[in-house]
Amino acid sequence: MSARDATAALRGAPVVAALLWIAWLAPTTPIAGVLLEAPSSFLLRSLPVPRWHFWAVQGAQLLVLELPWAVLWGRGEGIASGMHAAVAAAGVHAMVIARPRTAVDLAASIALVASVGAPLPGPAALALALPAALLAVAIAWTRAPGRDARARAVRVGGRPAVALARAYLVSLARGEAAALWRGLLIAAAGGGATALAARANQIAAAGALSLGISGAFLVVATGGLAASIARADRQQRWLLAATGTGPGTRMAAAAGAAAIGGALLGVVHAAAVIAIAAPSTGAAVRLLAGSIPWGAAVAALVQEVHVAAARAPDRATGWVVAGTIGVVMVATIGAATLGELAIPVLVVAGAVGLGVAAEGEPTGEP
Amino acid sequence: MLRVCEVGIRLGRRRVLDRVSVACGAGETVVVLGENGAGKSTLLRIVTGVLAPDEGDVLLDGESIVGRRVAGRRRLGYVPEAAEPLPQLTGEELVALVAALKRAPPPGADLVDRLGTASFQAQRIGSMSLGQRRRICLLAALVGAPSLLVLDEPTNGLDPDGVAMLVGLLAEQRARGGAAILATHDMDFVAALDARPVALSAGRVVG
Repeated sequence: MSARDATAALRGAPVVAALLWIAWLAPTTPIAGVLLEAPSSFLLRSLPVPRWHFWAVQGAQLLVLELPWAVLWGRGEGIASGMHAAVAAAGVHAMVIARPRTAVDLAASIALVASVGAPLPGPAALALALPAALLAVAIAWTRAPGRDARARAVRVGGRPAVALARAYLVSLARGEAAALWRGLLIAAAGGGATALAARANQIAAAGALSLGISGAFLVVATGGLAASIARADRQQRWLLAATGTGPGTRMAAAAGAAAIGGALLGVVHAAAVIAIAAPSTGAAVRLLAGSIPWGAAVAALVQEVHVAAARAPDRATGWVVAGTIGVVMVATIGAATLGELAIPVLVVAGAVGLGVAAEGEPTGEP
Repeated sequence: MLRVCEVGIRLGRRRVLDRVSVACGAGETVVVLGENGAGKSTLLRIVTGVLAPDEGDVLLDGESIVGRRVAGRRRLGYVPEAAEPLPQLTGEELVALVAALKRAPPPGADLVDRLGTASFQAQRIGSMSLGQRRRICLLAALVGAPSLLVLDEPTNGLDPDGVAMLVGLLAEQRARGGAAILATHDMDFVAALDARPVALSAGRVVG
């Protein structure tokens, strides 16, 4: 399907078009948040530079982020539509991050939504979206330093390993949204690849194939989460040492948090396979049931690699790469040779790896 | 209560502590004094188990808390010089985490009131001022009524009311038979404490 056919089809199906806009805006919002709200850039505001310079730079950064979206609409409907897609997406991103609260915010939000939803020609849509987007960027820039002061409380309690795992997950969700979204997209892409491979090879029950392909995708998808959790673990060494938290508790918490993230990514992978390949109900249930422990075990192993690699900071990158390749090989070869029996094998490997990794962990700073 | 026995450590090529021995009895406050780089923070990090010494031992109530013997450390409360807990957690989440790790109940409302953290403990730690962060870390350190408080430059970032509150807390720690060891350059604060000074210089106890 060409870009022209795709955009023409979207014009004829407003609901699908709205879903596609959401599918673009939702995963890119955390990246836009990083561009608009980097605390390290707040210091620059004290410089004797007119504000519009900052707005121009941030607007340009957002336009670069929206480039793939603009290219789709530009190739489909022409330059004006492409520019409108980029400007409207940048404006919506800025407004979402600023959180509308005044009448002016609301008016700008309505203008942005109307420019997307109303059946306007490209230049008219652009003319409607441009002032609203400029306003949205300025508002987001102004409000950035005061954002996120408060957070909805999460219960961080229970047994020590559970409390620590919860703390890691809270940090991940609040501070590493980009890694989380990246992981979700990679897991979904793995599901798409599995479905296409199953269809091309006329495989009805995609269970073992799914495990084999998802092994590589889930290792990459969970890598970002594992790195974030390992960073949080390093940052908290002083607190964990001073509260008598042993290496076993630390490792169990880190691997547990990663396993929960991995299980979620396993669900996303399976959902993508099911959505595209449309297997029978029984096969779909079996696929989903297998993907959850598979994703959890893969993530736990990747986490163990990251924590163990952190013991040698100057060689950590090499160890992470080597360990990640090792996990990919174990998962892929295991799935190819054992089929769905590879699931309990990988779970056991994750548990054994946990014990081995905890044994070598220092109790304080390495 | 606390006995630091002949502790030594080398960080890189530099010998930061050389056979340092310090004791801190029940109901006593010890202030470690010394120039920058004397080894004060390193000593406190060894006392809390954050760093493992190359030699020597640290005993809390007669039990070693060095290396993998971690359980005894639940009886201490620590606020490091650069208190940087997970910035994405709120203050109350951090305190709840420390309570879970120490297997202790969360601090009571009276302690929260005294430390003045109620108004900002729902904020993320990363958005707090230095003084607010230190108050939250102090609240977390006091979870479980620790028998030993270890405070590194505790007055950094605290306003005068905060310093007075800290002096009062340390007096109460002494009164209930607890111990405290702290490092500071704030001589006005030291003067307000009923504390025994220990001087460190170039990694050795000199007085």
